[in-house]
Amino acid sequence: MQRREFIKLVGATVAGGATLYDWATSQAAQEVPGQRVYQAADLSGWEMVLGDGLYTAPNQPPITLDDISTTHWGDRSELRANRWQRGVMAHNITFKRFIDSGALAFTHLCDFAFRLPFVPATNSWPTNAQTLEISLAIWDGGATRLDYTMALQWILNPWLSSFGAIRCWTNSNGGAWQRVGSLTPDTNWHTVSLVFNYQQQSTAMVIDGQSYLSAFAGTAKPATWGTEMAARLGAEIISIYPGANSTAPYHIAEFKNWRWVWLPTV
Amino acid sequence: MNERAKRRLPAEALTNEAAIDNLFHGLMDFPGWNDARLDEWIDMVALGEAATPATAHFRTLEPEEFVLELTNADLALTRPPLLAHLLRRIAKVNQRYQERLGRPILSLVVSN
Repeated sequence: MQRREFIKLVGATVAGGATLYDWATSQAAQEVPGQRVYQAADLSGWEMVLGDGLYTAPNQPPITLDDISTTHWGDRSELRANRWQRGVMAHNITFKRFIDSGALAFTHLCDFAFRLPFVPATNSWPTNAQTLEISLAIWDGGATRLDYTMALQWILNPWLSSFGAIRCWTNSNGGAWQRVGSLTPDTNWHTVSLVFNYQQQSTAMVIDGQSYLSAFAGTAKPATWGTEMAARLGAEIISIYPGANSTAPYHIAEFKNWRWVWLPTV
Repeated sequence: MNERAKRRLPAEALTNEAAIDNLFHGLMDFPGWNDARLDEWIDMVALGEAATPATAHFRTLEPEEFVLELTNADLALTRPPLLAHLLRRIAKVNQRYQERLGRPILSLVVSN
């Protein structure tokens, strides 16, 4: 897809995005019939896996689940990546999954609060970061075999010119991130809302009350993925790229007050 | 929307080649980024555009780029040898990036 076409597509999505967000929050507040609500203060019961944002410096043992952790504190959960400060870049995906063949028939509204307990900087040690990401995806394993996704990425590597950028995942060039704004890295709590509607293939994203561009993406997955329909809400962090170093900082982020509302689509 | 990261190079600091080297080294706050560890720095900033399976997660439509702003340009123009030294340093980084990624990474703008 050419950039011009992408902007046109995203522009259309965003033009409807505010409307979609307003509609979804309004519906959720009314507790409409057929609505499902899942929510909690921390991420207890969520699954934790390694993502694909991995890198191993020379002579480092492979990355395993032992390099990441998710701890639940009751009022929040704490994700860590590269927790042993090895020469690796580790990707912690902590996610909630529902296997439900009707998932695409709903509009999904998801809320989170997230926070960094440190400010990434070029002299930051023992903590530093590559990204923080939040995603909502529905795998249609029985029909189209596409993973329908909306996702945001917050760039936290302080050596990058894109430090502080907010990006959304798009279908462009076979799948790529597109910058849609910025959020200054700090230690404040931030809120994010994602709205995802498969039937209109539209999305909305609001961070700290401000609308950002977002995109509806469909991504092919390996043949080994199952035939079920699986909806997943994910909190993700990736630790900083270590270069050739045998040690590297770990990444830590906190998430709380998640809510996932399944709204019957009119 | 794509706000490019800008690093300032004050012409007043272009007093000799060693000062330029020190100033240039400090621009990215990455040890040896323009010399001994240049490849390592390139690998880090190119994560989003090196479309290898290992880095597919980071693919982006807006690759990294850095702008160096030389301020007080009139003063810099009175110091041609030092200005030439600065340009050589920039060219060296861009040449290596060009070899690896097919494009330059540093841009130079001048202002008064």
